[in-house]
Amino acid sequence: MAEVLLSQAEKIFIVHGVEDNVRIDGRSCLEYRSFEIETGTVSNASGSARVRMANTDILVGVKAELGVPALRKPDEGKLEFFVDCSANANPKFEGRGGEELANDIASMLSQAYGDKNTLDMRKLCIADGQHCWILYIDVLLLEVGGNLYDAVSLAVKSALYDTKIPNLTLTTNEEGQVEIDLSDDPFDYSEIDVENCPILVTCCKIGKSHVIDPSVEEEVCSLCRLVVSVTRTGHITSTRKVGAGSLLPESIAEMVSTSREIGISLNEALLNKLKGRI
Amino acid sequence: MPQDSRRNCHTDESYHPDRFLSICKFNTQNNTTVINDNGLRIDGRSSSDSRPIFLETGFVTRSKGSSYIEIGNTKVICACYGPKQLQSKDTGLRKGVLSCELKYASFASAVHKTDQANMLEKEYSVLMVDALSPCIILDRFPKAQVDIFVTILEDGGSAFPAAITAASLALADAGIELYSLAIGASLQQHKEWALVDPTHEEENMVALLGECTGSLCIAYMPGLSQVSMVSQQGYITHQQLSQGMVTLIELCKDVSTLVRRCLVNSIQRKGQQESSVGD
Amino acid sequence: MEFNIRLAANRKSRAVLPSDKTMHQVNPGDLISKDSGYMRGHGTYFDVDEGKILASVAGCVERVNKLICVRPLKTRYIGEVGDVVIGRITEVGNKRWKVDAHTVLDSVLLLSCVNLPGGELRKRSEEDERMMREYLSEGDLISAEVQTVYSDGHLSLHTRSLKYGKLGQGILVKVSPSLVKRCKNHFHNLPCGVTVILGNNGYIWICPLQSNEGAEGGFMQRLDPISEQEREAMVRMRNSILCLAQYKMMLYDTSAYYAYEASSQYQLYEMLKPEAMQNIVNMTRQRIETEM
Repeated sequence: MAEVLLSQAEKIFIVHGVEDNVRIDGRSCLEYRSFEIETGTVSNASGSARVRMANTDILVGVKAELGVPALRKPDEGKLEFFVDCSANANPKFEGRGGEELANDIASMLSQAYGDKNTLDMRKLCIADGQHCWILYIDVLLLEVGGNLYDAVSLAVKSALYDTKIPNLTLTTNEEGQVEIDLSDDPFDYSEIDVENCPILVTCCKIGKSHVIDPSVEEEVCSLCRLVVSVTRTGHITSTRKVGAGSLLPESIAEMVSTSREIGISLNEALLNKLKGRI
Repeated sequence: MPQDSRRNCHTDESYHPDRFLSICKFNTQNNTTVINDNGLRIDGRSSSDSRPIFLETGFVTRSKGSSYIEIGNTKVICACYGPKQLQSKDTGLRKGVLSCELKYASFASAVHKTDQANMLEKEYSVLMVDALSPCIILDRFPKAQVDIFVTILEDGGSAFPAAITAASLALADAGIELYSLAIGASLQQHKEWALVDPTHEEENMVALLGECTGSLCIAYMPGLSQVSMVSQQGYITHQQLSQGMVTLIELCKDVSTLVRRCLVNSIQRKGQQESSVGD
Repeated sequence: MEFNIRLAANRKSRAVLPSDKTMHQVNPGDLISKDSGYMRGHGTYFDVDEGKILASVAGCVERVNKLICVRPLKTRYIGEVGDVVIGRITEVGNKRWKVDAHTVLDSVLLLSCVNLPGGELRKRSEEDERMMREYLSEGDLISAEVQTVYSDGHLSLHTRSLKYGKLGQGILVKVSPSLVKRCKNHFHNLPCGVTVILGNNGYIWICPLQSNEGAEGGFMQRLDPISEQEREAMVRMRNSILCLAQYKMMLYDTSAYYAYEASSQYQLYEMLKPEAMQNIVNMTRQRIETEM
């Protein structure tokens, strides 16, 4: 993550502030910053979204392409995540500099979306064992300013909401092979059901309490973070502790429960906002 | 996925013959159940039993500390080198640095190693650094680094938790100052059953049953009573998560007594060797 | 739990501030004057072939008697002797500290330019060199004055007065250097209960009220928890300064204090919403104009 130098006194100030429930920008410990979403920004992609949260700027593009389903799951489509750290965000990301961070975020997303309850992959299948839709979800980090996981997952969910998959007609020819006909009509598409797609919620342990949506300075002061992936129904699809600190089991339970509540409300609020556009 | 430039030079054209068997095996099974009505799993254990564990230190003679662990069919070997001079130039560092590398042997799992495995290795290496850093008293060796190399010789299930336990054992064997050992444990959540220490087949429940409720892996430090790593995936409720953590913490406490006994034995052995040399 | 999610489509562009002065705005390469009798300052260059003064940055032209310079909106700080700056230590080196003060080149703080504990006056010994890290290490913040400006532009700082030195608990706000008005005094003890140090380099430090008598040059740091009222006052001041900076208003003690008072109707985090910000800035501007 972006490294910021802080003096010992500044760190102490932040830690005491968190314990008093007054953070540097005036938020309480469980308050989320305001953020801005925009969908349909990239015309070449099947779906796209941009999320701007304080200093963090994420752009996600979803491309739907045809491929062959996996042998073990012939009736399901596939989801592939790729994260790229642009050198605009931080000069250190030039070349292979941002690779570790990118792999980290990509693996978190794959884990979060790994279960079939999040996204119905069977809807992405065209012909069993022969053709399916593969969704390539590409995340571009334009600016890195704290709370990356949350922003990325919000952008991914918005981009999937925006994705339009063209409708196909299948015909079987004489040799028994399936032929695909793509519809010419640009308005003939189907959308993906993102009701149960998860959102990653980062909970940062600072001093004796924890904060949601940490800023860069707060991340530097924290011992470690717990990233929980929560769906609208309150199910947890992925949990991971990030950072070189350790937690008491009671703290973990508290942090998971807080993240879960925030995750449920955030999912609700995001979908309402996206739907409200139409 | 971005391709690693140091990929295996083996071709992609070969695949395991089981692929053809698997289509009929995993789709038409009805007689294999993960846990039967008596509460017993396929290998006869109950849901909260772990497999027998074998631990040994001093496996790699050239390294500062090393260990070997066997849990059921899972075999993991770990070597620890250091502390030695830090490679990079961060001179202002007041604390030491830990670096971990975890690798699966090419023959470790049922299917020959693929690119997917490479991504998994990188992920596990990062998780391992996070899991072990809280245990080590890093202030004792500023500007130095400790390297941990783990090789998974055979993956019979729960390889990563075994790797964590092996790494702590190797660190202790190397004489590096630790706040506490870190013990790894994992479970597989199957509907309402929490199967502790799953075997390879149980881990691949997606293939077995076409679904998987969830899996949870933690690293626990019994000396400090704190958890240093949590990694969960699947689709579970938070009650299942908290219950799972409680179960795994109990298991870690049991395993830690075994680890302690192994360390005591190795010290006694070294003591005997020295006294016999001295004679 | 309330979330403030906005759609970019609903974003309103910030109102352009009306101004009565006609400003001469230029882009790089624009002609400023053909008269070669002027002295050239920052942001200009002389085209020898054509004998014209051209702008090298995008900004407004400022004319002071015979001096022409172009003031860009965003710039790295260009130091001048006597400026008060706030910097962060990036490196501890051979008898000097390297300081990041938002300049092009890192500034230096020589060991001979700091006050020793207790205000002793003696030649720095080898022991002092080794203890350098004990006093100021990487990441620490200091307030200092510019002693010299070298030919390549890098600054040499000093903390020779007792009011300068290592900074304790507080909040650092970064704004563009061009927004900080040059004053005689940069250390302001505001009536709202905070002390604000407006560094010329665009770094602003907000901390709890410091008494003037007890200035010890920064060796004793107050590390005990700060009371809730002081903390809230500091946070409010930080947000007020950010509002003013967002709308490119000049920052000095009065404007910061007026903005603080104008924000009292809002909750701490509410202040940062675009509507609230605009309101606070408008109220501040009106108040400043009526008091002129």
